[in-house]
Amino acid sequence: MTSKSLAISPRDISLLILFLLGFAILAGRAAHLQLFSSDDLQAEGSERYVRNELIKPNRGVITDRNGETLAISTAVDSAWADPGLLAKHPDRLDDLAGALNLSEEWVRTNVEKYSGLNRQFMYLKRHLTAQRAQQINTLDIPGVSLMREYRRFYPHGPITASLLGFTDIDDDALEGIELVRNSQLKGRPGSKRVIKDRRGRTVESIHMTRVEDGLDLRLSIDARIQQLIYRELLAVLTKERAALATSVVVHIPTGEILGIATAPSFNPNVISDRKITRNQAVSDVFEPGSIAKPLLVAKALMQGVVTPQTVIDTAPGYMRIGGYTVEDIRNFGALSVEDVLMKSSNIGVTKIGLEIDPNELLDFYRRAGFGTLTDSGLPGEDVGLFPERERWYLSEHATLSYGYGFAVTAIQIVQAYSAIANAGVLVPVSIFPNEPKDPRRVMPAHIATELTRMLERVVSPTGTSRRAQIPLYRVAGKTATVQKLIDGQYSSDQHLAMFVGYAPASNPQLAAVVIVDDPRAGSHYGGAVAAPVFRKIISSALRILNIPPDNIKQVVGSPAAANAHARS
Amino acid sequence: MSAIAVIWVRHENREQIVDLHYIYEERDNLNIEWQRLLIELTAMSRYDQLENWARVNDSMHQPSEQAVIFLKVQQKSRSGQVDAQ
Repeated sequence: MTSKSLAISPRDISLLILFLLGFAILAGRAAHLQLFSSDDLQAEGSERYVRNELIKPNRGVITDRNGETLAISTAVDSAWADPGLLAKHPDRLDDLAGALNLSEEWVRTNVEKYSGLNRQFMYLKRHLTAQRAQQINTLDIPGVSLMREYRRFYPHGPITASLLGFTDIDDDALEGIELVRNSQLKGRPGSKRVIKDRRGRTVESIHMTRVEDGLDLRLSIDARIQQLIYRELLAVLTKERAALATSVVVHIPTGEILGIATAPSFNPNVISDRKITRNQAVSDVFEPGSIAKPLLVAKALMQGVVTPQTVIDTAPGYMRIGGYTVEDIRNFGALSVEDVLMKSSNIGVTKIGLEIDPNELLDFYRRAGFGTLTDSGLPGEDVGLFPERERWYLSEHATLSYGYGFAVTAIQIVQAYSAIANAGVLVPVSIFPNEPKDPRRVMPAHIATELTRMLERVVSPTGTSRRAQIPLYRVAGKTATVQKLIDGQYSSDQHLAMFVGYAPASNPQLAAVVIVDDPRAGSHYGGAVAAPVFRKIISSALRILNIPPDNIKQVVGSPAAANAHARS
Repeated sequence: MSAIAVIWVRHENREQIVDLHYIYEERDNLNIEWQRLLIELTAMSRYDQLENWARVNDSMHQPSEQAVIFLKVQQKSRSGQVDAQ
C-alpha cells in the first residue's frame, strides 16, 4: 500500500457523496412505498397473483332401485373472462369470438361494458363442447379462462322426463323429483383463494372452503319396467290415436312404485324440447266410473247388505232415478252380485248402492285412499274431488255407486286396488325405496279375497276384461270407460279408457293402472283399449322380475321327463 | 444460512403444491371419464334396446305357452320354470 492511497482525494469524496445520495434516494423511496402507499400496492400485487376460484358442486346422481343411472351431471367447461384484462388486448377479440362462435361485436360491446363497470368476471359462453374448450386453451388469450361446470344428463330421456323433471343451466332444479329433493341433490359450492405464478399454475393455497357434492338419490323405480311402460304407452297412442296415456306399476307387498310414465313426453336433454309438465299420474283427476264398483261391492258385503250370490234384477236395462236415467249397455236380466261386477252393470250397482248411506260410502272410498293425498313423495299431486253434503239427492246417491260425482287420480286407483290385492291392507305407495310405512286395513281379509275371486272372473273369457289375460298367470282386474267432463258437460265423444288390475291373483305381486285419454281409432272401451296395454306391461314385468306363474296347466314330474317331453 | 433455508423450503413447498394440483386435475379428469362411461353404459344397456336387438339380430323370441315346461321341485312344493324349445 502506498501513502497516496491513504489520502482522501476529492474524487473519492464526490464518489462517496454520490453513493450516499443514491442510497438515500432508494431508502426514501422504499420508506415512501412502505409507509404511505403500501395498501394500494399490496392490493395491486394481489390482483395479479391471488385468485378466488369458485368450485361448483357435482349434483347427486339419481338412480333406480337397482342402481341404474337415471340422471347424472357431467363436467363441462364454460369460458369466462376478466373483462379488464381482456380489454387490454383488443386485437385478440376476433380470435376469441371465432373460437366461441360468437359475433365479435357482441364480445367487444360486453367486454367494454363490464370492464367499464370494473367487473372481474363475465361469462363468455357456457357449456362448451370439448373441442371448443380445447381451442380456447390453445389460443391462450390473456384474461380468458375455462371454468368447470356441470350439465345434467338424462340417459333415459323422455322415458323418465315427467317423473324426474329437469335442472337449469346452473344445475339447479326446475321440476319434478329434481325439485322436491333439490336440497339433497344440490350440494354446496366451495371456494379457494390461491396464488398463481405467471404461467397460471397454482403455487399456493391461502384459504379453501371444501366443496360439498350433492348426495345421490335412489328411487323405487325399476328402469326396465319404466322403459317397458313408456314403450307400450307410445304404442297405444299411435294405435288408438289417443291424446294421452298414463300408467303406474306398483309392487303390492311394499307399495313401491316400479314405474310411472306418461306419453307423449319430451326429451329433457334437449333444452328447446323441454316443457313445464305435470306428472299426469298424480296431477290429473277424473271420475273413476266402473273402477269404483268393486269398492262399492266390498262395502255392501261388509255391511251385509248383499252376499256374492244375492240376485239383483237389472231388467229391462234402464232405470229412472230422480229424473235421471241409469242405463246398461244391454238388458242383462237377473244377475248375481258377482255377475254384476263381471258385466259391469250400472243398474246392478245402483240398486246395491241405494242400500248404503252415501256418507258412509264416501267415508269408505276415502279409507281406500280415494280423495286423499298419497304418501307417494311425488310433486304436484292432486287430492281429487269429493263432494260433501248433509243430504243427498237420490240421483246423486246413485251416481256415487257407479263411480261418478267424485274424482280421483291414477295413483289413488292403483293404491286402492293394491289394498284389495294385499288381503285388504293398504300399504301407502311411495317413490322412494325402504321408507317406513304405516299400513292400514281397509276391509277384512275374507272380503278382499272374495273380491279378488270376483275380479278374476272379470278377466275370464266371458268377462269385460278378457283382453287383460296373461298366459300362465291368474289376473284380477276391472275396466272402466268414462265420459270426459268438459266445461261441466259430459262429452259424448271423448272418453277415458281405463284398466286396473293385478297378478298373480293367487299371490298378488304387481298392480298396474292404465289410462288412455280420448282414443279415436275405433273402440273407446277400457276393455278394448286399456286392457291389452295392461297385459303387455304386466306380462313382461312378471318375466323381468322372475315372479313364478300360478296358472300352470301341466307339470312334468322330473327333469328326465322334461327332456323326454322336449324331444317329443 | 437460515435465510437460504427459508427460501429453499418455500420453493420446495410451491413445487409440491403445483404437483398436488396436477394430481387433483388428474383425479377430476378420471371422475369425468367415469361419469361419461356411466352414461355410455346406461345408454348401451337399455333393456328395451337390448330386447329389440335380441329379437331383430339374433331372432330370439319369447317361448310360447306350449314351449314352457314346468317341473315339480321335490324338496319344495313349488314349481320351477325351465324353458325348452
